[in-house]
Amino acid sequence: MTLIYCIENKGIARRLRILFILAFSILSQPIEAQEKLEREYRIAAEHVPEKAKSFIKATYLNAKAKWYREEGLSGFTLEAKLKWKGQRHSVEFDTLGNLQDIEIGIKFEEVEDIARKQIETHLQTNFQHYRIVKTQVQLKGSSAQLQRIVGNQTRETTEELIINYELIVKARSSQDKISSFYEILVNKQGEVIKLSKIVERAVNHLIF
Amino acid sequence: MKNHFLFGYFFLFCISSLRGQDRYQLGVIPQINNEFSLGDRYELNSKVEIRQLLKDGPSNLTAQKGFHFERSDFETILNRKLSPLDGVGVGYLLRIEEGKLVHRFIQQYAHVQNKIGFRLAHRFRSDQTITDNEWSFRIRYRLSFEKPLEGLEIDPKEFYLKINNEYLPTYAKKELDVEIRLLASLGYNLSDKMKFETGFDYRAEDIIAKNTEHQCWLNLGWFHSF
Repeated sequence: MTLIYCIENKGIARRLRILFILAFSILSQPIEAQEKLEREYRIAAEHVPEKAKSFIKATYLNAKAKWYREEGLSGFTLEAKLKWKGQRHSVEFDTLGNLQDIEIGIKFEEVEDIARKQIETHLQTNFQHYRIVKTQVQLKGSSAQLQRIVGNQTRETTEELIINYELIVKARSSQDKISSFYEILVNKQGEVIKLSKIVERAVNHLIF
Repeated sequence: MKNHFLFGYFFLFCISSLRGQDRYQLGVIPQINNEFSLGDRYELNSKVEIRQLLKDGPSNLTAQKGFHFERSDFETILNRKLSPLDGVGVGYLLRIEEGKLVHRFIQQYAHVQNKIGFRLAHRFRSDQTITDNEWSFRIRYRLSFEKPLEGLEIDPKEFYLKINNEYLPTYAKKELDVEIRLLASLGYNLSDKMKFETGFDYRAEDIIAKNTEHQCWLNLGWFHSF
């Protein structure tokens, strides 16, 4: 049964209204600005340089790409995201349409043996427990070379081709009070190039 | 444009579900939700929610009594983070309803999943409520879906869509009943610490008793993290 009461008859309602206004005004005070320095947003294909679109069309044939523009500390980049032969590909270009790299979602088991063992050793040494959430192989090289690799699904190993692996790991180090997410970039030999802790976005609007 | 249609459909759904003799309520729920971080492991979430009834039936008490605050809730939950995306919490809610005090004790476990282009949140909650020396017990499950309207992640100054669906089996007065809630809202992420949301919240109470009450609330939410 729903209980209803008339506020005019209740002094408590007036107090509540004051409390509500007070809470709102206190909490509306300016807060310390803490802008995220990276952001990405979807863009239409017509805003993408012809050079980048041509690469995607030639490499991925009829695959449908979604285009994103990323703003970061080092400037702007363009990214085409698409599915190709059951894998997620992320192709990054500069604003002139020059190819930067290709990231391909893979299983951790697909990482080359030498790198995989090295990564596992690093994780076991630095974390009390860990779980690999996401693995991507990052390919850097000439457009023609990357086009051949994507087309033939072969991993050419020439000096110009740079292969890195990017991992998202849920782990807890001895300094952590709770498990955290880490982004780890390693080279082909499994040596760590970069390790950063991921700051998760707020979830209070989803769980309370 | 697609979102305008979505909200339009939802509003029409709420209105069309009200038949002649059905019990119904229409109103507004403003909500302020603040999160205070207590170190790496703990956080305190406080919520103030005041329901204002605009129309009801068939008794039409709003017409008889005029402008109403139906009830006011003050909720505090202490959450212990298991990871940035998991947590267990215990809390207490004080409700002021028709001048009476209602006490509720809350326990919850929540888990958020990051997917490509959207997030899912699962919230399992149980609560025990005492009103006029009578206890009622609920077990709740809420699934939330959140999707950015630009890009793959919600960045500052971007809009997002949020849909909640919650099931609330209730045991009270030796009877079991169910409540179902569906919320569709549009959010604006002003910064990493502040969000605004507005949307329609449809609730169907007392479904098993066949004396179902349909409620449609306009939700106005302000979420802030300290």
